[in-house]
Amino acid sequence: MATEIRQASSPWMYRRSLRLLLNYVIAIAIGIVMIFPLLWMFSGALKTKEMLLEETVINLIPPLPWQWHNFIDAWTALAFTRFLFNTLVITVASIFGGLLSASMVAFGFARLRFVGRNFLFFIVLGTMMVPMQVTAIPTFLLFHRLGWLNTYLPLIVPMWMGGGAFYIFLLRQYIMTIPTELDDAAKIDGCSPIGIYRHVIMPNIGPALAAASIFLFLHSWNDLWGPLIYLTDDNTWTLARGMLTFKRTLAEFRHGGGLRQYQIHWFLSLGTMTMLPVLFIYLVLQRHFVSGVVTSGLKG
Amino acid sequence: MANLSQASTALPQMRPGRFRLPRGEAWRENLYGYLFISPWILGFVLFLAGPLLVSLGLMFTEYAGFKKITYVGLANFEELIKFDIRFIGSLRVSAVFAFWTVSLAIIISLAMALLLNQRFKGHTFFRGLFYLPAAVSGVAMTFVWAAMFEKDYGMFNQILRIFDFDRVAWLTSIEWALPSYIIMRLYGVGHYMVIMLAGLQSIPDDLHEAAKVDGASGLALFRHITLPLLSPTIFFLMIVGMIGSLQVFTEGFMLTQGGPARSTLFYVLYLYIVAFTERRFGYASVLAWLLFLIIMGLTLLQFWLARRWVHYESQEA
Repeated sequence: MATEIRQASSPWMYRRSLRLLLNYVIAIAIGIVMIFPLLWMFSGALKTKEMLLEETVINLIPPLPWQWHNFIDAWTALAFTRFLFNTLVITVASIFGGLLSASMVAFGFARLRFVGRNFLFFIVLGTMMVPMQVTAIPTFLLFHRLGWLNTYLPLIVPMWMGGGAFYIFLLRQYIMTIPTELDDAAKIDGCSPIGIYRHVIMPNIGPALAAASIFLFLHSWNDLWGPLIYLTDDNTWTLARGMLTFKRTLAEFRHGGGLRQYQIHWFLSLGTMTMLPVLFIYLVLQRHFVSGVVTSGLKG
Repeated sequence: MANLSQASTALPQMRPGRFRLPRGEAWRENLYGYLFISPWILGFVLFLAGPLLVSLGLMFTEYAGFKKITYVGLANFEELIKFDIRFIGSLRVSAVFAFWTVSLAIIISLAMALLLNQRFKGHTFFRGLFYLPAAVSGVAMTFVWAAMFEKDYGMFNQILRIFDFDRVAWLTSIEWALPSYIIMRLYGVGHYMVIMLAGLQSIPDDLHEAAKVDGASGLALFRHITLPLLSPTIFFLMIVGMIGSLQVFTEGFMLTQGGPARSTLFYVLYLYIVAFTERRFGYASVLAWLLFLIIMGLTLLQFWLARRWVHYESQEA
């Protein structure tokens, strides 16, 4: 910026650097609004409840001593270790199945010629319009009949069947950008479509798989609707389901004459812990994150 | 699986009087094609087409998930239209919420995208920062919002206290509960911004250059070039935003469960309560199908508009 100002000899240049300065001021102001709630959360997670109630300025650096035990207190208030384990099993199985099946289906639609392909792909796109609430009741009845309630299966199995139109679409678009010459070369070497899928397509669609796995992860990690309907036994609960109960019961102590005492510092430490994986993934894979949003215009 | 693929491959080819199965290479490619998309076909039948048909049938029944299922004719529809004040209320809550979130988000995200489109040094850093809240939105963030809106300890009332304002009962008062949700949603405006930015970047530079040569001012450039060329993106965001705000559930269920006095009873929240709290699967199916029709209508509108806009652009070129 220094060089910009030094160049400001003519009035036109002067106006230009003033405008640049204004850009930075506005950008920083918006940035502060965006980051402030998160900083408030991180700092609040290390404060006592009284500090939050009494402080006259918002200390983004929590006063000493830092209350590290907030994290342990909140985590052990319910069986969150168990919930984390359940969430991880469901998430990993969903990502794996979603990537595998969606890439297979996407490969089929992008590369193989079969009767009714365009019509079926049109239907794939059409299914994006169907809100999952419409199919929720019959699907619930189906899983109930199968005896799958209170197991991981209702949350995993559907992801193994193409994982949803969104992922198929995302991957198909990416496969279309890979030159077909690669396929032809493999075909001449005697590769079957299965071989082409494994040795030509899969190694070349890394970025799309990364974007898809981010959305698959976010879907499983944040899903409340599914666990709420299918998991009633708290041994099978996910983090999201556990947090709901935490919010409704434990965080709202009945204190003295029925006065409500929110354990707000626990909210913040638990929120911090469950947000960290998401934050980590965002910071590491930001490029794929944004490209996925732009390609599809949707969010998982 | 192979049997199913073969059968469905062969069928469309058979025309009366002229049986010709695809042979050789073509037959093989059909087989592989259906083999590869078979997971989707299975999922489509089991978790989409089948359930859709079942819920279509459920609309005419009263059913609580047990053995007994009663055919009630059009009674569910009659109840929906004539008697259900909660339904009317939830429709209103969702409409108000959708209107304010979508229109404000579009204005704010447009401003943010215009700012970042100046490509000053570090604009990618700011893009990452502005998108951050949208990326971390989810159940953890909802949980933190509960804390931020809290009456005594929450961030918002802390700020108000510093400036000597009276505290506000954010999520627990009828007048502030819905606006609180709108604020919550607007925090994730980075999602709109990223798409808006992509739209801005697809506008060819030479149009701006040409207009500048003709002596157009900054405002005129925006009004006559940027805005018209960005309108497909804006319409897209409007439709997708409306569909998204119609389907709010997690936040609503976690924070207020529809209260106080049904002021935050979002449509899908109401649907959930009817279906899984009150166990009225028949009536809930009517609500679900209505949601489906609304979303389908909005999507088709988007397609129709997109076609018109594409047409409009190509005419100009």
